[in-house]
Amino acid sequence: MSEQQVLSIESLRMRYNGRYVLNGIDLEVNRGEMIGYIGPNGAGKSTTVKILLGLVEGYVGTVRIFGKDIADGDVEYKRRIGYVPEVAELYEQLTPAEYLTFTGELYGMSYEDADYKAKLLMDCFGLEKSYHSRIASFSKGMRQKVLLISALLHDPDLLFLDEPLSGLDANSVMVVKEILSQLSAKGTTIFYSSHIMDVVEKISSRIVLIAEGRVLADGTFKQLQQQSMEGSLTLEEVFNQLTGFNEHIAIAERFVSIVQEVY
Amino acid sequence: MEETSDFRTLKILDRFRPIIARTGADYDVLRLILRVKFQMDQRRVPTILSNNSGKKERKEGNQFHRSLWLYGLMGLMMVPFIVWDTGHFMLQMGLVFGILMFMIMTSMISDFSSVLLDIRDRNIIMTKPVNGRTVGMARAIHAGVYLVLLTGSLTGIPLITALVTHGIGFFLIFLVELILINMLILVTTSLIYLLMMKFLDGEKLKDMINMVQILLSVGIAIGYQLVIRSFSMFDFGMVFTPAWWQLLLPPLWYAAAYEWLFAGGGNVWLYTFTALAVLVPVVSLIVYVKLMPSFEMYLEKMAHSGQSSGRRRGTWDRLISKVVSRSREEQACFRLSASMMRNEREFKLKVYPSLGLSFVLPYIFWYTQLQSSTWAEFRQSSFVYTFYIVLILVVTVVVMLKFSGQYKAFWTFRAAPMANDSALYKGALKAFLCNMFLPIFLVNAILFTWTFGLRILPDIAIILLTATAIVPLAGKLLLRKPPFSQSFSVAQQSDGWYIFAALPVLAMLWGVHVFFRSVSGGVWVYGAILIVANVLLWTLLFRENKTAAKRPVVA
Repeated sequence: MSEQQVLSIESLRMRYNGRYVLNGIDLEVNRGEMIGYIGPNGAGKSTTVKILLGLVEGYVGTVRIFGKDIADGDVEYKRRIGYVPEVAELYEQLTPAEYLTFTGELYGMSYEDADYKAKLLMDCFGLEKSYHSRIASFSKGMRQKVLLISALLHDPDLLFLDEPLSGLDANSVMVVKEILSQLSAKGTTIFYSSHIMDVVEKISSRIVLIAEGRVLADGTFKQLQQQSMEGSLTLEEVFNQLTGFNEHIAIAERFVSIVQEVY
Repeated sequence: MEETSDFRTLKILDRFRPIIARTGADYDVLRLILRVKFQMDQRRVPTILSNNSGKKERKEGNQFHRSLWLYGLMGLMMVPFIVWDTGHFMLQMGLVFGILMFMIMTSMISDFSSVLLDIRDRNIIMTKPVNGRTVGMARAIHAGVYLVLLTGSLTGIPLITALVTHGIGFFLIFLVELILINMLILVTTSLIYLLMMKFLDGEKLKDMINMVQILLSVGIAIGYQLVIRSFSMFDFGMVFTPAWWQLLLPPLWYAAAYEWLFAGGGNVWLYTFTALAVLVPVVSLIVYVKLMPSFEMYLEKMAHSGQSSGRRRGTWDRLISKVVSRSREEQACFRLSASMMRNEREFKLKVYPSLGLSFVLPYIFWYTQLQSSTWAEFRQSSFVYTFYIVLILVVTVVVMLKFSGQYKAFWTFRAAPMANDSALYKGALKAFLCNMFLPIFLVNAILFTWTFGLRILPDIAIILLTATAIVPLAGKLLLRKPPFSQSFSVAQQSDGWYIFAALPVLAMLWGVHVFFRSVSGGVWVYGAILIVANVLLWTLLFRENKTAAKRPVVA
């Protein structure tokens, strides 16, 4: 395994209630790659990320992060990982000052460093006035910014982002996308999972499409376009084509007709 | 900020650092987690009130700490059992520990289960380099600290009494046993949850935990009533006769040491009981610490929803709603309220135990009465009026109708084109009446009729009419906020005074009932009056004028 390799997954399988949600995933990720991790609902995206973060046990296969098997029970590898979960779960009763220093300290930072950096980062997002207010009073976008800061505060080498742009306004989206591409250019590996295909198409250096617990396509956007053969133009079309979905017009027509009661 | 964030509890905990570290937990991280948890507990106040921090921060304080004095008062109840030197320690201390364990266990289940089962920790803490045992340990200590505070308040006065009346040895044994009891309760509760999480997942698991919580609360509340009432047995100077089934009663394990050391020596039974008192908590603690990391893993299952059966529900609700309400809006509100009462876990946890309790309360009175009179006499007595106690549940439940775990979803009603909230109030009250109250009423009515004979049927009818008249009244006077619109965290214990206020009212209604019963034909007159009252109360209190005047804005 080379120094460049950050993550390697070998024939990863996972079973829930007798059904395989992951059906043999193989994936190798190198330093600085920006992976767009996409797939239909229930394809196994979140499960993969949860396994990588050690939130789920009982999988079959090998997962190595920074060259170490994560099944050995040592949680040290998480020190170099940042995570933005899909659901904005935070301790709402806390203020960003308290929450961010807390998570910073869990990653092993000192209180002072965490506080200092968190304040500056809140500043960048225009939230300096809210640094000592309860998170419970925050809008969805503000919460998302706090989550992003908490994932980046300790300068991780590997980032797992699950819909990181949800709730952000257009300007903030631009800022965050730029932050991600600069981080990636400087060597941070980013695992970006989203349903918004335009964004994934634009920012990813490599796209991994999974469906029914298997890797369906893996490559640059160009390669995926070629794989889908029919000359699909956008990632959205590639996605539809590769997952064998082409009835969106029929379904929409039916839906509208039901709404307007023309059965 | 920093000086307020270090808690006295943590300073005390620091002394146990070596012991905690030996379990494999990372003490510094554990302390960090606990500090944040305590900080959050201080802020259980509705956040809207204290938006921007600063001066207002001072006003916040742990709600739990504020209610501790109440437990102190409750502790007084145990004092007579300790002072009273009957020479039968097995009985008197058995009662003390019985009361104590009931109270601690109820509190553990209803108030601190959320501490043990907090799934937010998974995404926030477990994704960081923190091992499972540290998180599990933090969780256990967090709950443990509250249990110790609770026990401390409950037993403060009894402990001093014990020291004064029975001396230092008695006091020390009491203290050690209290620690063991706390361990036992904390660990067994966690192990029960662990066991359930192992075999179930998702919604089914949550339902199961909910059901166990409700059953335990009901069981504990009933058991508590029985213990209090068995007070009378003292006069007979009962002699303790050991039996195998008593091995299943933990309060007796702890009482045994007193019987052994202070009331004339031990025997095999007492040695066994005392051994259990020590061994069971210690062994289960060791098992629990071993299983802690898997506890953390199983918590994931709580978040993961399994496949649910797609059974169509609500045919019954639709039928009933059409019978009891005419407007379509009200029918919809009826059905929604009915399913909320059936499915909303937090609501069930807070309300169902009091349902169970009001259900059995009359029979506890019967039980006391039957100790002194024969069954034949009893059947001829006027104990039929104990039925009025069941009506307490109208008050307890109606007050709770405004709460919901999903109170934020109340925007649905604000978004819908509803002129005012009366359809919602009426729907919810009728749903309570038909789906919760009537079934309990009917079962009780059958039991009562079976006991007292058909002669009481008019009385049952009167009581039913009284109940249906009280419901809209209670809704108007006590509910005040639209159903399901408030968070449970706003619920204060002060709501309890409603029940005390309701008791004289019920007593009065009972008096009126007795009066009309004594006049010949009075029942019919009273029944007619009640029917008119019902019609008037249900129609006049919640009028649906289409011109929306003032709608209370819900925060």
